[in-house]
Amino acid sequence: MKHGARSMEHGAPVLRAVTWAVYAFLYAPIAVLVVFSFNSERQTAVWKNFTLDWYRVLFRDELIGHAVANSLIVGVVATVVATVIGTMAGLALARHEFRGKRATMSLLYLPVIVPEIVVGAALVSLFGFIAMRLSLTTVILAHIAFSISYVALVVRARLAGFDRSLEEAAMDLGANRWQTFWRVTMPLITPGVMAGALLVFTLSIDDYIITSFVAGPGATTLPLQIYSMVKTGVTPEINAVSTLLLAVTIGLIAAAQRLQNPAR
Amino acid sequence: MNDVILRLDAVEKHFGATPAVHGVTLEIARGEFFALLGPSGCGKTTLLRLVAGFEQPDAGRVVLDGTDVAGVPANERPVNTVFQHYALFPHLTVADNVAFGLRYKSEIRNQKSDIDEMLRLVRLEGLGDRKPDQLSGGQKQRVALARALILHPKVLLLDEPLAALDVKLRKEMQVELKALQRRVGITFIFVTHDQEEALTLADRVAVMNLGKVEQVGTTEAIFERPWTKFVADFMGAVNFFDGFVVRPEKMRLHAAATAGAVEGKVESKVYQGETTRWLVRAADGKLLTVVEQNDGVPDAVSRLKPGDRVWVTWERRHEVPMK
Ligand SMILES: Nc1ncnc2c1ncn2[C@@H]1O[C@H](COP(=O)(O)OP(=O)(O)OP(=O)(O)O)[C@@H](O)[C@H]1O
Ligand SMILES: [Mg+2]
Repeated sequence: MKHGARSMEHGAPVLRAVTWAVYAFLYAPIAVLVVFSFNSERQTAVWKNFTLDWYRVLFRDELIGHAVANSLIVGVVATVVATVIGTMAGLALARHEFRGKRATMSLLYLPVIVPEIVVGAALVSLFGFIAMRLSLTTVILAHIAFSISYVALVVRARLAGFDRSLEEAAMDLGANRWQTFWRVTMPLITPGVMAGALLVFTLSIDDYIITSFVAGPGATTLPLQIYSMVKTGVTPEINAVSTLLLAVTIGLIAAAQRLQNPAR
Repeated sequence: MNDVILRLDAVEKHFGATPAVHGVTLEIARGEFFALLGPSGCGKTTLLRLVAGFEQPDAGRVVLDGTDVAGVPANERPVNTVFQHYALFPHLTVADNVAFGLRYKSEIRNQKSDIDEMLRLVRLEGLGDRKPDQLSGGQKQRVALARALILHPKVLLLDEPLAALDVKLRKEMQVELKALQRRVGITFIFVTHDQEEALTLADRVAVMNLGKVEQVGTTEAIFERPWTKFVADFMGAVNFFDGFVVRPEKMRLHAAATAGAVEGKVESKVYQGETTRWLVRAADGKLLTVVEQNDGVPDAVSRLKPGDRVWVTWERRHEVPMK
């Protein structure tokens, strides 16, 4: 033990330098983006004065407003639907033995690991096959499809440590299965379900690749809007909207983390 | 037995090939404190779960107060369970835990005062607003009891409820539990693998082995007159001879030759406070266990050491016949 600790101390300065380098590499672009969203100079490379002008421009921009509304509609609907279905799938997987359970498990993991570009291409050909016109609805369906797995996996993990005797105790005291579920099971898995929901909302709000395949005319979401604006040059306005998106995402992830590992 | 509250009739329960409960027939009287005693894995929990309704028997009948409860789900059976690890609802307060089952019992009115009275009965007054993780082990145990007793079950099933407590607390809870049972007059079926606990608490005991009931009887009968080698051994009567068994504390040691004694050598001695436990190797090679009271005054016997010659006697009337 002692020896190991000592040799780690010897390596510490090098390790620290490498760590900082990696962090700088990862976060410098983001830091630049955030800082320049407050820059009064339109020329993005030069810092002049602090201003909130770009945020003001942003809130008056109709295209961005429309995209934000679309993103919120997709995010909320997809989150609600995927959370309900994913929770039921997670419960079924954690609780019941059925034929094809292993296969179902593998299929659930797939959307998490299959490249998004493949999912997007598959969905767009599916919608074509069933002659469904691309619209905001197809975006919502696509987001639900890739989100269910995440909720199911989070809920299943939560149930792995669940004390079944609590449910037996509830039945023993007179509650039927339904009452047991709502009075005991559900309150105890709610943090897991909420964490899953936040994760899904975050994924939905951020998604570019899959959405770009399945979005119909007028169904531009915020990431699609940002990308189309970048094509004509990075403006402080884009920095500002990206900064906001970043803040929302970090907030949601932090909330999900807290729900899963509440500080004691 | 004239007033039978629970009758088990040739009850069978198998898990795959292993019989967990095998041909168990038992009658338990109203208001009785009944213990199910046996080693780990002998089927005690499975038997309780069959009565509670968490398992269905493969064969045989469970008759509760005159009604065959086959097919009646757990939540509709008038029995309640105190689980080994309490199974308190962690998201509910003590009072809400205790009140949990009340809403499914329409005949019980005046709930608030019921809850207060029950908390007082198990000495938890003032703790109603706590969450279970703010309670000690003994307090959790009492919440589990209160939560079940408030429903006035016909039978209360307790699955090793004291196993998780330390020795001192366990002794206290034994006394408390016995007093509580007398007071509420509810039939208790208590599972334990500790023979001393069964003797302290129960009116009658069923000793189980490999899914079968080996003997049912009063605590005294089980202790003094075991029917089978297994029961004798489990109750600590370990000196087996051809056709009978003698309890260690019924045997006497002598430091000098005595008429009719079995001669042997001291193999080991273990001081146990009130008593000393001796192992004696008889001349024929048999190992005898003798428990002598300690009176604090050293004598020829208490000074014996391993390797010393020793003589063991007992009275004929202490021989319990055994095949
Ligand atoms: N759900 C189950 N599935 C398979 N086997 C089981 C199940 N429940 C119990 N058994 C088996 O049945 C036998 C009796 O188990 P049971 O839990 O009733 O014993 P017990 O007397 O309560 O033991 P302990 O003192 O260790 O709690 C054991 O061999 C056990 O492995
Ligand atoms: Mg058990």
